[in-house]
Amino acid sequence: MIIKLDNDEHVVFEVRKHWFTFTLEITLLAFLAILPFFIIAIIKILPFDFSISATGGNIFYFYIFSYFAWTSILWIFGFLFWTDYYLDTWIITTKKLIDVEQHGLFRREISIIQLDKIQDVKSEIRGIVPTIMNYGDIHVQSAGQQKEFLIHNVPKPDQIRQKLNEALSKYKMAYVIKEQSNNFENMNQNFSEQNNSQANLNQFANTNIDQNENNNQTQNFS
Amino acid sequence: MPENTVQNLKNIELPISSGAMWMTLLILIIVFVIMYFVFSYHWKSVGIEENPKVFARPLFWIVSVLLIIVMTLSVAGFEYL
Repeated sequence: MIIKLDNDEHVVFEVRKHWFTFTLEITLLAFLAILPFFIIAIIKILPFDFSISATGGNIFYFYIFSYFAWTSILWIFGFLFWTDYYLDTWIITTKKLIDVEQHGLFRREISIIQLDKIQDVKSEIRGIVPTIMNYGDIHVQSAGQQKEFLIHNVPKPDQIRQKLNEALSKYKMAYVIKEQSNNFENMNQNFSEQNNSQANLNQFANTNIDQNENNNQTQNFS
Repeated sequence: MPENTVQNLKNIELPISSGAMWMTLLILIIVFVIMYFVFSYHWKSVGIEENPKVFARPLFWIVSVLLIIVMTLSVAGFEYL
């Protein structure tokens, strides 16, 4: 697995593109799969009377072979599209946002942003079809020089923005509590150090007083 | 007068040999195997929670094998029937 999480970190949710965008690609493949039948139908309609035969054997089996070879290529492309769709994802953990962008099979970009660096989360639905199907884009603005995180065509972008904001709030809350407990521990440590030093001073002072008393007694005795 | 080319289309005889079809089938099988390994690598290496190989791998194999069987039978039919 390429993405490793810390021991105290877990995935809150994963976001992928809306299934409708993937369906468009599959529809294109389905159309290409039935395209040979359309071509045959058009040839039959044409006013030419001709037949096709093969020198090496029965042409009917050649048609079957050609069609299934064509289907095999489309099948592979279908999986290619699906893999691209599946791997293009946002993973929101308790500590960070991981953006995995897959471009084809051999190019992948992984960007990570710590949740405390996120400044603004914005959702956007634009167009008739996205409004009907309820999908759109989410923009995450980060502090500093880092690029804007953008995921296109996610389902229910408003809900995802809300969930992301909740994850951010939880992270910030946990961060504040951790900071406070650290401060408290530091204060305790300082206090105990001060107590120790005070005790040392007292001990030192007592030792000096004892020594002075002894000296006085010795002088009086002499 | 030039001859009407449509009239020449009475019977088109394609120079297809079964050897070329077997070769095409072999290339397709090699492509299937290579693509299977490439896809498997991707499904295994990326992603954290859901594991797509649970259904993707068998689906890819079953349909691919069916396609290869049909193509093999059609080449055999072309050659022997």
